[in-house]
Amino acid sequence: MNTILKVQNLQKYYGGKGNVTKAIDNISFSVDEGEYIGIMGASGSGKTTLLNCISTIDSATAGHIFIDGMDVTMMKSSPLSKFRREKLGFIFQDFNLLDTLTAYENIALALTIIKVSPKEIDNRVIKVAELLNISEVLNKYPYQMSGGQKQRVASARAIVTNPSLILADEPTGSLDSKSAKMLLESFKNLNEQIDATILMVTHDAFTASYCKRILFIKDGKLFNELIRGNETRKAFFDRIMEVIALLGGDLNAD
Amino acid sequence: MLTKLAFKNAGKSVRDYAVYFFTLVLGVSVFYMFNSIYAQKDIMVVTETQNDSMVALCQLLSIISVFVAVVLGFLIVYANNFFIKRRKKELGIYMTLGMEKSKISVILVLETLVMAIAALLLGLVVGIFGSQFMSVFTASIFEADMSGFRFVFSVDALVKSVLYFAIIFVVVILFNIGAINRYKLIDLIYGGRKNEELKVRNIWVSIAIFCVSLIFLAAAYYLILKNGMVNINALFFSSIGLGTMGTLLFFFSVSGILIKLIQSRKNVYYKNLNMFVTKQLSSKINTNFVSISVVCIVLLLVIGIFSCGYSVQNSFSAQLRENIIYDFSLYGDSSFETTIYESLPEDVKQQDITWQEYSIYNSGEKLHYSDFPLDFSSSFIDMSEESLSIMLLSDYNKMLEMQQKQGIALGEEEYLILAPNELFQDTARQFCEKNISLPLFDGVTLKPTDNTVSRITTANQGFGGIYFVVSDCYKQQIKELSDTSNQILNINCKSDEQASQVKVSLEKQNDNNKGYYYFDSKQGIYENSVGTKAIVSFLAIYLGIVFMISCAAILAIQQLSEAADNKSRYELLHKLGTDKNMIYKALFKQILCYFLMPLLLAVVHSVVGITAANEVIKIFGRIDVTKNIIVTACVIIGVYGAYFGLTYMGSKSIISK
Repeated sequence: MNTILKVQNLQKYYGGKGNVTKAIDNISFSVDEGEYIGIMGASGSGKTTLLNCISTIDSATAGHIFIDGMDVTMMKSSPLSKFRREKLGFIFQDFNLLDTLTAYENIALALTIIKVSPKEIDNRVIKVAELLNISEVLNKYPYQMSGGQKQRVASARAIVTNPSLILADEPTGSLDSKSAKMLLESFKNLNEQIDATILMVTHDAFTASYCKRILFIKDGKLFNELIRGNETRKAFFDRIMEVIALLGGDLNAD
Repeated sequence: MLTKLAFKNAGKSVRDYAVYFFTLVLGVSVFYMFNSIYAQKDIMVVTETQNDSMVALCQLLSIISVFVAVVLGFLIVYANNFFIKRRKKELGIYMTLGMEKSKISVILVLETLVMAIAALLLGLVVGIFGSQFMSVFTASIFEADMSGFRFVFSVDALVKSVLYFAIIFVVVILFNIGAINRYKLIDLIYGGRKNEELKVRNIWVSIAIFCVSLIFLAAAYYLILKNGMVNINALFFSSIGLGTMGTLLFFFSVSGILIKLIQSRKNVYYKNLNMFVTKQLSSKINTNFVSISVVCIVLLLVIGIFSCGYSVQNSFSAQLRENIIYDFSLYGDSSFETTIYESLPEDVKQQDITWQEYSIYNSGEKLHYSDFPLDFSSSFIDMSEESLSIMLLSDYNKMLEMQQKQGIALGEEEYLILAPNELFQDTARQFCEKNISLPLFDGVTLKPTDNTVSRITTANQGFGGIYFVVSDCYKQQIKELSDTSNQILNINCKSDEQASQVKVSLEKQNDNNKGYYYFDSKQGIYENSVGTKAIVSFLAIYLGIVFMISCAAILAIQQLSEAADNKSRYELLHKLGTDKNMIYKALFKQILCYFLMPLLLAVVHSVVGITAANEVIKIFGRIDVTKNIIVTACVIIGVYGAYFGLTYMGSKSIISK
């Protein structure tokens, strides 16, 4: 199985002389193709910084990140943009849809910026919309949609370009529990049906219980790792709760 | 501490809102330059008449300057309000920290002062240097010679600029204080979160309104072209009204049409960020359609003012050279006891001058223009109630001789039609074309001698009318027919010095001894025309530039605020991996379209408007259309382009921060 993401001795320091904050302190792990991995940690633990480094929005202080075999820590700004639009898909907590565009156009936007021909765009958007069950809202504007629909449109935008890696930052953070559940089911489908590799950052145990593997981060360091294996989601959820208890406190504290 | 904060903020604002600062500097410098014109005369050799017209111009300009100050004041207050709104959150933070409203007002007052003083100083420096260049232009307009280059500085203009702008800034400060007192903390802190309400109009409604707007515009164009600009009547005003309504509706509906049009071409719509640009642009036009319409109409004014103003001043000088061929013309009539020549002062008569005195008779009650099958519908003046003016062939030939032209022969049953001025060509030509015979004298009918209308100048004052030249054998009959006759004496001198001497003598002559009502001289007309020309062109340039600045600044401010409002959207595009260049290109397209749209409609309006106005300008003479258009285009592209560039750079720095 191919390794999609490989993080090697990653460090990210903030601040200068005498006052250094180690946001990420020597983290290494790797993600294989088709994996559905969660990263959990309290606020301030460094999980968002980790995601920002992987997503190339932020640069690492030391260490390497290989995505699809390419070292993104060595890339310059312009190839980074190219890399980002071709290899990565983003899902944000607050959806980040453009409210002047319809759902269809929001999804199509991801394709137009990688210069897919207009003929092909239509096919791909309709296909991905079916997959995420949003065909009926394609012509609506974001303000006409529910939160769950918006997040699924954002997910569609993230996967329509067939990225190597989908990065989701607290995707259920702005959703009610029913919508969150629907979204997570969609993620599961994406992972199982089209073999999408998903890396999700969350502090919610329920959300995390949908993943196949979970990394726990505390104070910038890898703290623990859980693998679901053949367990039921419920059993996995209980194990997550145990680790959270070990980590010392409620992850929802922020 | 407050001062430090204010200084830092002002410094930041200068960078962020370069457009605002640029407008202030430009406003001050233009204001100074146009108010310093009188001081520029110090480096020119000016005659008394030129001096008089300069004084008149300066008085007019100082009145206009009040108006200009009001316009600039509105603009500055508008811009300032925009930028204060942008800073709501910052002000909110001051308040949550427990700063009193009065303290915040102090910060804003200090900031405005720092900005104002910086802009005023820079503007004055630019203005003072600009006025040096302007003096060359002023000299050429007044046709005066530069007596030598010296640094021109006008204390008067300086004081005026400082005073007027001080008043404007006081108003701005009052507005700011008022705004602070009105704001509530909750609005300030969450001010940034309020989303612009997205209005998606029904496409069919848009299409319907768009069609109505086109009909309105077409009707307005039709009316103004049919009516022209000579008659200011109900038709004229309904054209203006329809045009304004049409423009408003056009910008109200155009964005919907635009989206549909681009969407229907998938290759364009789904290319790069075109989709994003189209939607951004149309939502901006939707929200600001009123101000865009105003900008469009003001741009139309600018184009009109510039090109017509420039045309008028150009035609003044060009036509004068051609038409004023006598050094003096003196005008009297048959009510005087002596002829004009006899009444001239002795020293004038003794000069070595060439002169001619002639009479213009009329057809009395016997014949009027209404007696002929004439069509006055396409001519400027309806002459049907007037009687015919008649001139004798010998007088006509003498006139030709004085102009060094060959005399003509005329049969007893023929007449020649003479119409020096453009205004009467149409009517005069009808006499030839329709071969109209004149039953002036009993038993004879006169026929036109040939098919041409003579355009020999009869006197310096060119409006004249139509003259029928007939053979001298009717002299007695004409005298009986005519109730009064006009006497005209034309004089040509051998040299300019001689002409000056004659002028002085004529001006000194006692009214009781005069055998004429008044006279005009070539020199006098030249100098007066220079004055008129100067007033027209300076007013055109002054108002044109001020309006231009206002339009461009409004558009620029709207686009800048757009960039700031949509910063998060551009950030998102960046996160999704959009190339920086692609984002900048999208921004460029968006700003360009926003600037071009009102300009394009204004150009269409002005093409129609200038065509209609041409009829008026033709009265003053012919114009060189291409040259005017090039000059106007240069000015518009210059000012508009500068604002466009600043807006693009400003937006770029806002979104990439």
